[in-house]
Amino acid sequence: MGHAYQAVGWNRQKKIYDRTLLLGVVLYLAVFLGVGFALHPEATAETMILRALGTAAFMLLHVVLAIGPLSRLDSRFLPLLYNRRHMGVTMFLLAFGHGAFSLLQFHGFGDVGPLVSLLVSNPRFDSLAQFPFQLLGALALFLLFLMAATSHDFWLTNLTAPVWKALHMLVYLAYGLIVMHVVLGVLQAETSPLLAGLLVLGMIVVLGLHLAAGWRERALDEPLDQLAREGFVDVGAFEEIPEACARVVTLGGDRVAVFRYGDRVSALSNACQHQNGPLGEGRIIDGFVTCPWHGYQYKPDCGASPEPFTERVPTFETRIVDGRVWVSPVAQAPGTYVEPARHPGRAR
Amino acid sequence: MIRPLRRRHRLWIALLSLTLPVGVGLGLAARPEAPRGESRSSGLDWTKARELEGLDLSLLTDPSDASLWVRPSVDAQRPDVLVYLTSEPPGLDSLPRDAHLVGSLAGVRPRRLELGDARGSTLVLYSLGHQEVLGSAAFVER
Repeated sequence: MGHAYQAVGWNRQKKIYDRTLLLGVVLYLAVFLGVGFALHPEATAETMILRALGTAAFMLLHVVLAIGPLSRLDSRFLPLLYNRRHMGVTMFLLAFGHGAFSLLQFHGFGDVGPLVSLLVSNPRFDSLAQFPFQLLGALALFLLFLMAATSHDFWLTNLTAPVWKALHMLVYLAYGLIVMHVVLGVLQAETSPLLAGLLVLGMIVVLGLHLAAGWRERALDEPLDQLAREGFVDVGAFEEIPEACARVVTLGGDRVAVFRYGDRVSALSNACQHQNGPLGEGRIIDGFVTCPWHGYQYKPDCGASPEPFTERVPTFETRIVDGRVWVSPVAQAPGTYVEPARHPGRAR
Repeated sequence: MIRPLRRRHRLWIALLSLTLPVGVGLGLAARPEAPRGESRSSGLDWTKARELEGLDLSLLTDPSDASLWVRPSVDAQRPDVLVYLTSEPPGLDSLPRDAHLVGSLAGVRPRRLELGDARGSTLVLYSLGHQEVLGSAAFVER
């Protein structure tokens, strides 16, 4: 957690994750180059490496983009989310290799600098078939660099989670640019329907998963404010909240995680201070609300992380009346202690 | 995510879902189809073009807005042959200073090289590895 920074906070899971990732990338590159040279022995090594790196980065980008909505739709995908940051940086490194090889191969031997050549050599903006598609890839690579360079808790903390998240949402713009880079670039020459079909299939999967997850999430954002009574909102029956888990509701325009533990109920902001992970999808472990994304912990009654950590989330007043849980939509300052509501019939 | 970020996320996805299929569709529809039945080197008057057996070069359109179709028929292509345009007349022994790169002949797949207005220009095939002009051709008005 955030009281000190390390380059990478290694643990066993991260090592397994990264080894698997590295093995997958190396295997893919080896298979691509082996099959590529077997089928096209006349091809140059530069061209094959360039294409191997480009396709690896493009495929990994699809995986990176699919993990988020998959985790929202099915919690079994949460382990993939755990170290997605390293997957994103790996994807950037592959894309950077592709860009560097392309710059060298196509712009490295002229009478102007490679970057100048990249920017001015093709002015056919009026033609789709001859569009300067390399500029689309270069712009996407720049965006991916911004994201890879800030993929660290230092930047997350100093930029603040909302700004950091907004910056990293540029991945969608980068994805759009890369798809068009492929369509207006290699697919203008490679006319195989298989390649075009794979690209369209990837786009359908990525956008379809996001649309499905967004549709499901939308229901959670329906305001419950109409249930307000005496300033509190009825968020459901005590018995409906599983032990040591939460129900997530929208109050005052944002999500609140209402946790039940023993005969008590406490309510916290649903957004983890670390990366705005969904606290309400975590559990109470060892007495602490534990974020499902990276394991950040908070005391349920005051929203403060255990010493020596300093993260705090807003808390909300709770009541239990006739077996139903009521929560005030007014957020208390982060870290403010709020007496948990107790269920009289469940007192120990 | 907090609600404003969720809203922004939905906007990005909605924007991509609306624009990307259109862009991809237009991009795929714009793919040029290789001309059929064109004879080797049609529209080009070669001064010399040695070591290029198996390579089919044909001019697609009028030299005022020319496209050069490259259709290799054998695998043994030289990987280092580049195509240039120059204002110098054919019969060159070295690459002129005003030559500008149009594309590469490497590979075995048919492809189109956009030449633009090529009237009065000379097409030059140049081996980068051997620093040698392999052939040059003037455009023939049809």
